[in-house]
Amino acid sequence: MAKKMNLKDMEKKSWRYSMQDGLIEASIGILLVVLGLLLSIEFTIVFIVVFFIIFMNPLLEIIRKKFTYPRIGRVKVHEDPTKKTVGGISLYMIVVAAIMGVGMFVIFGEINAENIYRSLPIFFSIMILGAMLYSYGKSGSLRFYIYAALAMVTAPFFSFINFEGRLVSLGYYLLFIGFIFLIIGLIIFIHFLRKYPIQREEITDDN
Amino acid sequence: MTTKKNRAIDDIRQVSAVDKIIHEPARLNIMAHLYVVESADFLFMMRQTELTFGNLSAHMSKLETAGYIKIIKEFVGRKPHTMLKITGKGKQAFDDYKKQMKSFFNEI
Repeated sequence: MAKKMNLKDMEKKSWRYSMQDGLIEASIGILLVVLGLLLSIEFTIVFIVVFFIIFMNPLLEIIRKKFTYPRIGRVKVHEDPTKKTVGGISLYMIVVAAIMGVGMFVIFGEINAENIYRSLPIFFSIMILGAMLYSYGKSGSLRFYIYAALAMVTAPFFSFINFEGRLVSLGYYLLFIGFIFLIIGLIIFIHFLRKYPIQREEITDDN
Repeated sequence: MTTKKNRAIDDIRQVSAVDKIIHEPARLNIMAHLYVVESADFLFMMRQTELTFGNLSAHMSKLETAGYIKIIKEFVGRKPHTMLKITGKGKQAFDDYKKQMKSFFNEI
């Protein structure tokens, strides 16, 4: 008990601890890849996206029951109320869209469809930035800053390269960033499996 | 002189009024961990508090008897699984303990 006890830090540590398996990164990666495929290659796979969004949490829970919980235990952290989260995300999206609209008008003198489609990767990168800053606030983990920086730095390239099709630049951006999330998530997951071998039977509740 | 004596008596009263169930270091650690999360299982608590199985079990029982935590036994597949959750009474007791300790150390 010589260690200093800071409840806020303990809460962040619990959050970090429960998310250290990399499965969140991997699932975000898969979601972005599927969205990217939908926008850039094949519009008919929209049902896969819907399926994935609906079943992402139950699937994640099944994987965690099999691999994560037997290794590090299970903790349910305090979550913000859904209403507050949805309200916050919506407000953030509106503010970012408004600022980008004003910025576009100042730079180009008009807001047209072509500019809007071109700016979509940047808009999405700012959405990712918001999500990562939120996650950093909850966990205190610096890796979320790295993800945010990566998303922000790469987005302009996809906005300025000319692609055939209006949503293709956004699609390729999501594919790119999704693959990165997926790869990082899988690397973290493999590292996690090696770091935490399954606990011996006597440590479970059987005794 | 009397004021000094009275103050000393007050200080002693304050110290002895501290909740001894929470004041024990291992139990304080358990309570603090459960205070900041919604619920946690046995393995998580073992890893976080660095207590042994037997130690943690013993402290959990004391906290449960005091009504500060709720122990939920369930089966995951065929294996027993224990979830721990701080109760309203436990949260209140922890808040009171924090206040008491803060005011006590402020006065020193």
